Amino acid sequence: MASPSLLETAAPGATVANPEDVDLLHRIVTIESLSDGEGEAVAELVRQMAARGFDAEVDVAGNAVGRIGAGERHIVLLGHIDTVPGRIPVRIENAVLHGRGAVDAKGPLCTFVAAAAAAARRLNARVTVVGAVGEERMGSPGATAVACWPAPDLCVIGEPSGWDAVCLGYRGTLSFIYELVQPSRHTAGPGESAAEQAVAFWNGIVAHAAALNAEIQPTSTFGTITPTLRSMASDGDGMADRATLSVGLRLPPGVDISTLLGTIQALAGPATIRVDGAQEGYRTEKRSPLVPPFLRAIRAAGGTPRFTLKLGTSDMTVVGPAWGCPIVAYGPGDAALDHTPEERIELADYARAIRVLTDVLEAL
Amino acid sequence: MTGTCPECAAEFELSGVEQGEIVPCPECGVELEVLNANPVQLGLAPEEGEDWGE
Repeated sequence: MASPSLLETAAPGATVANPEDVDLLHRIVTIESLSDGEGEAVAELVRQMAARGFDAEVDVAGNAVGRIGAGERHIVLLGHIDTVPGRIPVRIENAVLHGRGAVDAKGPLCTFVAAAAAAARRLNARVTVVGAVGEERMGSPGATAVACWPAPDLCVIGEPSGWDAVCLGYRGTLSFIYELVQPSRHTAGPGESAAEQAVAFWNGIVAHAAALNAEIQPTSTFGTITPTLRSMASDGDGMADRATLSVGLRLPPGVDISTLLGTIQALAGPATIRVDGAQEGYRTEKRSPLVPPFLRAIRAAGGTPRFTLKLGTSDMTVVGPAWGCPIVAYGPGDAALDHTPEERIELADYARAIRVLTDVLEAL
Repeated sequence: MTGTCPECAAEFELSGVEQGEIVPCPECGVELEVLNANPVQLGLAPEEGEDWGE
């Protein structure tokens, strides 16, 4: 149960979260859970789900998994419990909960648990809530394991769309390390240094992305290929010179990664390319059967529904292609606060999202 | 049941729709939200916004 100091901070007259739901979020945000270090938070989430009537366990991948409800249809609510680094003192001030993961994505994950528990007696389906591990690191091992399950009938991904918005898609990603090692050379001599060749490679990547975008003719940033030079370094020891680049590309749905990698290899010449993450983009359409209940529930809660497309990546790109079932992403919070020192969530928005998702689950 | 497109004023038949469903206008192609299923009331569907988060 939340302490009195937590409860008395709810703004008078505002949409107020159930104290048990605030306590759940506060507990899970308080436990640090960087990627590859989620064990304690997973164990606590399993305890919290069990206390709310879920059949809960830790699966072989380390995910927290809770099952509730009965029926022919199966709905998976897939959130993630890991966060990026950066300690933010966990506190509630003026009905706002501050802390790493409050938005990305423990707020949405706790919304899943609270809503499924609230809807439990009126569910016409089996609901599985997953607090996946490793979403913030390359390979997303928790969701990759879940993607091997039989496809559910419906899936909601737990990410901060905002309580009044439904997210329809995410861009994909390709990230790799470029490394060139060559014999040391006199700078007055002929030929290009390793660093110069690395710069030329990066310029080639930028030009290739521009050429692909000219072909695609995107009407939005979501439809655009965006290259990013994440880091670069070069050095030498008198025997060999080395240059390394860390490159990432954000990719709209439909970009064939194997073809793109072929071009990247050709541009790299003698350098090596080590891929450390590759996931194609994925989007769903507004005519998804998940959309009507969300729009109705958002309007019933006093909102004006919105659709969003995300320029980042989420586990939708992992399970969406594998399952092929109707899928959207939903959760409270302002995604602009993801990965920032200002990460925080308004408890009123958390409460509204729980109400919306409860209505959605009861309608499905 | 008949619905009216708020964009082009075209009237067209709709059957078996539910509140919140997104349907295209057969005349102008704009996407419409079924605000009420019986009687049918249509509004422009929410547009797609973008943000850079996850």
